[in-house]
Amino acid sequence: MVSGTRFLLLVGSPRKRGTSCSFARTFGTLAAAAGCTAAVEHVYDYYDGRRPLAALQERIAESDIIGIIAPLYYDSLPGAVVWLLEQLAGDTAAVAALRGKGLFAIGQCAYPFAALNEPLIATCRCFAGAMAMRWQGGLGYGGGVMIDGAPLEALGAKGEKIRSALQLALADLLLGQEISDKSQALLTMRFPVAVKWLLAGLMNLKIWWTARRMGVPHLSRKVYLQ
Amino acid sequence: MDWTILDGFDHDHIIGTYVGTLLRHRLDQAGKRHAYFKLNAMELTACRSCGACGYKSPGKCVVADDHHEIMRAAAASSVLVYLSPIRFGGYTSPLKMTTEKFMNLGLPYYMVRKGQLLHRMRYGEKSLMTIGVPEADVAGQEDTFRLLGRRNAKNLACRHHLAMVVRPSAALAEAEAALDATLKEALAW
Repeated sequence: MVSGTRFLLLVGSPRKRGTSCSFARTFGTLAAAAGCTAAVEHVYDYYDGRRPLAALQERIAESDIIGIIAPLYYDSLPGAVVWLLEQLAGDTAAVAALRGKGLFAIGQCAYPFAALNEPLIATCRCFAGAMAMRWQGGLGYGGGVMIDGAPLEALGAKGEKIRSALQLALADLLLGQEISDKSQALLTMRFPVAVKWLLAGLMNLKIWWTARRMGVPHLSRKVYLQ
Repeated sequence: MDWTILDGFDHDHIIGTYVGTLLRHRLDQAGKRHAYFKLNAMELTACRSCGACGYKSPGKCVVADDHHEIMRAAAASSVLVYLSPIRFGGYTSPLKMTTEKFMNLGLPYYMVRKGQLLHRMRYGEKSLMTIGVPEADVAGQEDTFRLLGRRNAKNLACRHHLAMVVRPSAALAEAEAALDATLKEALAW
């Protein structure tokens, strides 16, 4: 392991207490325990203009490995993250700063199917290729909605499994390797189709009940055709 | 409306502009009504994951930007077309932000179809065509673009999906032939 490695974690969720932040927080803790640092930057701070892009360029220049940790929005990175990547790719100084640095990605989605994150991770890999960065792999997690921003350390066995996956990924990253399949295997749950039917039924019941409790009569209204 | 075309290209992108213009011309020839949106000229904002479209205003984002105009057309269409430079294997940010709002084409309720857990659709079944032109020579970007299109189509419970990639170095006649071949199939949907 290489202690002293400086990580920059770009969190791509608009929610600063969401599940992507849970992952970033635990990754930062693990990195610190390995004698490394992990700075966290929130993509929406840049998208909303709360922080200037120059500040991010400084962060990039000060880092060795960059991680994109984001929720899955319509099958890939959130549009705001794509916007940030476009800004970086269009800035000569940022492109120079990114060149040669490591890049990894962690995607998390609401459905409990980790494989749904594949396009998100592949997009980050393409960004690494376009910026001449070292691609160091990615992890997908399914079921982020059930974590809902809670500290992974407080989630019992489930949290411990995720923590172990992040620990293994960190070790690979520090060795300059791509994240191994072992990390992903810890995060992947397999369900028979029958469980999906059960899940759909339970969620539909919950939605119906929530709408009723909130006094929303027409969830199925065709608002754009009226 | 039969088709809704979302164009993520800049005005000065030769191949992109050509394909977009030709597509509309071909649809006119085929008698298909279509709505066309040049996304870079519109005010489109990112999803905030605020959840308001769930229960507060079911099926409608509460942010007042130009995407509502697109949603009205998309809701009434049977075919959606995403036309975009292939940027890091995906779409441009305005197109990506627009497609995120397409979650409101679905209902909050779930179903299982062909082993996949999906949202039920609010405005009936649609089909999706994705057309991309690579921006740079990046390994794996075309595969990623095609994968993203397939996943988008699945997510919207689309009846049909076609992905088409036009090389940036392609002659206009080559791009035309590729589009015509793809359209031949799509017009039969």
